[in-house]
Amino acid sequence: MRGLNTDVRVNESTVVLAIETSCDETAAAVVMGGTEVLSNVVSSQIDLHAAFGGVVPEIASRAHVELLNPIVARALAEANVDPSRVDAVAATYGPGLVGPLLVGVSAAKALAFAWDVPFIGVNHLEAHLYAGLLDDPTLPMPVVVLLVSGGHTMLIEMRGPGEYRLIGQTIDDAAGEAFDKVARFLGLGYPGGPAIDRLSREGDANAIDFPRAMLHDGFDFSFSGLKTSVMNHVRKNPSVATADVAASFQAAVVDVLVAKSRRAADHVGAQAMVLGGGVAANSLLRERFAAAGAADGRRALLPSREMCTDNAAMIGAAAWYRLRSDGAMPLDTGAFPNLRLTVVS
Amino acid sequence: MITRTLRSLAETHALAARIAEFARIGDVIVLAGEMGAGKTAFAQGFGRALGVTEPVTSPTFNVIHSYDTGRVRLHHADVYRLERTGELDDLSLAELDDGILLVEWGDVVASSLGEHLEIVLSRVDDDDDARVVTIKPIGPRWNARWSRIEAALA
Amino acid sequence: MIVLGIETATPRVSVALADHEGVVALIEVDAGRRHAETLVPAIEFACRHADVTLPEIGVVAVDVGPGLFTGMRVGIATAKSLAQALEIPVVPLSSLEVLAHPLRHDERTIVSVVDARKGEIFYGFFRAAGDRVQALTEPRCGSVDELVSDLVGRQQATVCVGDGALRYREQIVDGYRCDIADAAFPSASALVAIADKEARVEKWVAADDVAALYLRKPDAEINWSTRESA
Repeated sequence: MRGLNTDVRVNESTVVLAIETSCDETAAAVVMGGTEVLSNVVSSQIDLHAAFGGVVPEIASRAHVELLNPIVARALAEANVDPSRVDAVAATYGPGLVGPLLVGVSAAKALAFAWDVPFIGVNHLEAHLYAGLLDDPTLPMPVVVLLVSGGHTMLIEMRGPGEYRLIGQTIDDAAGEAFDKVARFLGLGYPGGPAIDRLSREGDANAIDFPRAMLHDGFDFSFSGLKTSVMNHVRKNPSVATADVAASFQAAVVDVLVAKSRRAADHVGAQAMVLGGGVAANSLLRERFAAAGAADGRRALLPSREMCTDNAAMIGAAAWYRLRSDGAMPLDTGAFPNLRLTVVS
Repeated sequence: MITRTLRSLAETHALAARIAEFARIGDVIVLAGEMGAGKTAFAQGFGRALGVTEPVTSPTFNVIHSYDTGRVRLHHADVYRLERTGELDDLSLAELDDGILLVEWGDVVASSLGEHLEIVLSRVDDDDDARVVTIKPIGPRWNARWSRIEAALA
Repeated sequence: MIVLGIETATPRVSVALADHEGVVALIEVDAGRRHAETLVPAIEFACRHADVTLPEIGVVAVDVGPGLFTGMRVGIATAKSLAQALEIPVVPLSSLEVLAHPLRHDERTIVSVVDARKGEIFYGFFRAAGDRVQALTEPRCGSVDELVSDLVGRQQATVCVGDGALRYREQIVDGYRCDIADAAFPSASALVAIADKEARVEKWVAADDVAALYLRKPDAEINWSTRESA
């Protein structure tokens, strides 16, 4: 049956065309053998959404439909790969916004069907775990991955491709969401992360002692109370310097993220800690994460910004491993906005 | 309309659990109140009471989170990131009638949500932890249960 | 040359294959919001059983709306990617014309009415013109009342067609006496029939130039005073 060609030999020269459209980045990449990134093209829609203070689902869906095919063409061209060399087509099929996911899944299935190669739906969270491996394939296992983005805050133990375990996660707001909401509250615009990062450099991180929720308690995170504390503080102290609020807030978030990552790494005997997700671009987090690794004599891998944020290269890497272990997925695969990270041990 | 003062997060959770006892499949509950008022906290208490074991987290980013307890499905939506009423159609909230639907910030699009229970959380000036909650039935679906809810929250 | 037609602008998924003689395969699935799951398997099934190989397909026709946004986008994304992979052009067509096409031999004015939800409809006026319908108006998004006042203004013998016409049958007929056709959804069989004519004169576009016809007039902006003042 066309498009269900499972008779594909998966090896170092297997070429995957990967598509990522789970949120506001339209991305495509060509990855060979699960590790070699031949091209990695991202077209961010951030300018489209800035006016709204966050990603607007309908606007994102429309932009994906317009941008995706040219981005795919560019990924193939930059990789210097003829479509006849593509062995499989992959797309993120969850978690994420349903409209955007459907565009990527539909496009990938159509390409796979037309080229008569396997289709692979990739879990976006799982893909983030492969970003570290793409950055350094010799990364010693096990590793602890701190995945921090607008939608997720998780600590995951990875023992190897396909073998991971959720250690902890946020019980309310994701760290990136806290950045965006606090930035909106402080009138700093969207995206909130870079705005707070920038302003914090002018502020005193010790000016306000915001709570570090659950700092010494388990591996889960909570940022909802911190968000509320920031609002309470500003309401009661209307003349407070915004830079001090931003810096103190950022320090509180980073303190908790780094402390729990270290503890998780100790707990599982990790050889390395890896940072992933959009918040991994935060300069204080990068600095403190690296320092924690150095202090503990443990590798702290800070993948490039391109690999930390949403990209299709990581989808291509995850797809290669998935194809090798489970083969192709059926063409009636849909999008799963609530897809969880399947724990494999 | 019922108005109660909640002195702590625990009291918000407890109130949510009481209301969860009256919720049925196909119900819509609107959660209103400014940022930090405790909408997600309410949803957490509500979800736990229904038997959701995984963390009920803020749906702001993904817009809808769905949980299945085996007994009942809970859909937890957040329209915070929408800009135009037409985007509601894209979410097809009306099609989530196979479970109980909580909608954070739902008050701004209430007219599109049909019959629902409206829960408004507001802060109290001199107490960071306290909240005032007002609960109001909108439509016959909730009116029919109203006297029992009043009695339970008395 | 084979034309592949993709129709997903309404709750129905419809796929057709046609050669110059006419339709050789037609698959229609009414399964709610499962466009993404259904579409590519339907195309695969149609090709397999009509004995059509992909290189034989010379053009992809797709309904670009107006219609249900999510469904439309599944069809458009699929059509664009198939065209990209097979290196063939696309014939984009309006849902309203596809809906009116089966009535092309009717002497009355034809009004295609697609349910836009929330009490609104997408609609357009057509009249028979040879073997096709000809649009008399631009596609519009509006209320049933607006449609009725357009009908009253024209005072012509009229037949309305589409899920919007069926849903608001009483309101339309009460406002202006006209007929309501039985068909609810546009069919890919009409889509490929029109596209075949377009393809013969090379009226097609490149995959990158296919744009959806959303048409939704600006919605009420949500009053977010609460969010801003938080």
